[in-house]
Amino acid sequence: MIKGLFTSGSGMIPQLKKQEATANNLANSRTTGYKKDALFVKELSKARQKVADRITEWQRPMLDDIYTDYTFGNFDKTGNPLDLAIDGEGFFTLQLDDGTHVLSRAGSFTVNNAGQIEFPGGALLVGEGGPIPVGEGQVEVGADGQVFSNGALVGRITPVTVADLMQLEKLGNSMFLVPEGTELLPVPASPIQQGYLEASNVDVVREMVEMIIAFRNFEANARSLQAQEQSLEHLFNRVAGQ
Amino acid sequence: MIKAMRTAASGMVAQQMNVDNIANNLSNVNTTGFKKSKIEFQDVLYQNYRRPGTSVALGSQVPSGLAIGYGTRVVATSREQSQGDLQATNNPLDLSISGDGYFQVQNPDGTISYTRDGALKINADGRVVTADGYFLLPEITIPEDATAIAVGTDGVVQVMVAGQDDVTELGQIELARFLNPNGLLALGHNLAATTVVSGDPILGTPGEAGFGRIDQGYLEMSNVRVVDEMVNMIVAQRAYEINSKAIQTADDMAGIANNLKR
Repeated sequence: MIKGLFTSGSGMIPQLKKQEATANNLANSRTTGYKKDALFVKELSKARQKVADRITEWQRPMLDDIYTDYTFGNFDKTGNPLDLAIDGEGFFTLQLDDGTHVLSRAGSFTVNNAGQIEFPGGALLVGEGGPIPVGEGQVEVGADGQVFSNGALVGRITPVTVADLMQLEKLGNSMFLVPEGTELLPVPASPIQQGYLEASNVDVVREMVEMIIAFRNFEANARSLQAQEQSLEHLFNRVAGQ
Repeated sequence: MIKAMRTAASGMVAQQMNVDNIANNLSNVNTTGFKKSKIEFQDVLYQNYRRPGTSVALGSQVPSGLAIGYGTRVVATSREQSQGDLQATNNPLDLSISGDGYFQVQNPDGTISYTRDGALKINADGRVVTADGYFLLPEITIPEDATAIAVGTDGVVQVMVAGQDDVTELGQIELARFLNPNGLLALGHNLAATTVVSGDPILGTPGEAGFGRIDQGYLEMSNVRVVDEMVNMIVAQRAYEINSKAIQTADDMAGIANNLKR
């Protein structure tokens, strides 16, 4: 029975983590190019294994996996020539100060003082053959990713992706880190839309439901813990009373 | 105690800044030459409970990591450099720029700042100044006996002087452009200053390649669109609200945990 207390208690912890992930999704419901996270709790898969292996002991629920949902967000029209959205699969390639390449779906760019297209926070947008020098000209980006400055071709943006999106690691700053040795695959078929930004793919209603579920699961585990404690109390009182 | 509270609080703080920014845009809906600003959000650091590719028992690797984020933050405000509508005023010293470029203004301390606000005046000495009395650069002095002032689309200032048949050329207004106008530092009073990231000003003649045209007798209105800002405000308010719900839920969970021990 004391073991039951631990089981119920450890059932509460993943629900807290779920709530944290939900809170993070909600906090980023307006973040350009944000991709929502969902948490899985191990319980179910372990239960299945238990039946197969005839293990009678109930496994404690654990956090198993976090899954980033890469479904596309809606497009918001901004009309800003340096706001770009990828209409389909793929990411923009950004170059950090130390030369590392990272990926992002957030296409709200500016031009830095060297005339190159820059990501908010300082990373450079990388096209075919490095950063894209647009200088002081009017920037036009075609659906095929060709970048023109005052009508002259200065570079080309090709969206890239990886074979397994699960390999990507969220880096913060709306960036995704590609693990070393992973090949970047170009996705030239995804058109680039100038003057649009991809909104966060967080669905507020869904997150609200997730939050209620996590809360009630948490509560149910707490109730069950309390019920066990009450039983223990009865037991102790009866033993003591005799 | 529960990270969710701080995470959701970061969402509330960001939305609060968003509303502050919208309020500033709305309050400048009638400000000459005002460019509306937009707030950009990014997600922040993730706490990695387990990185992707970590080995677990039996030599297998976890296919994806386990990381929970710490919320959101405001990373930048960028100004939308789109053209504002022109309003006819018929005042000869109301100038507007159609296209790229800024007027150069000399601050009282001698430094130079930049503005799109072309509502110019003449001070007691005949110098062309901004509404705050700062000198327009290059300096132009209108003679006392001038009867009419004409500013060409190329920025050439000419006057008719009483008793003379020919026009007199007084000077040429130059415009400044920047590689990264978003990097300019807003000083208030419709003025902006250069920074390291804006790049140095590129001076040129109005109407020439890349530079906007000057129109006399017009003022450039603010490019704020009230309807857009109202919609943004509603969205921001709802986002603020939902983050507060996340805090409440986390707090309720904490309350339950605390009440486990009766």
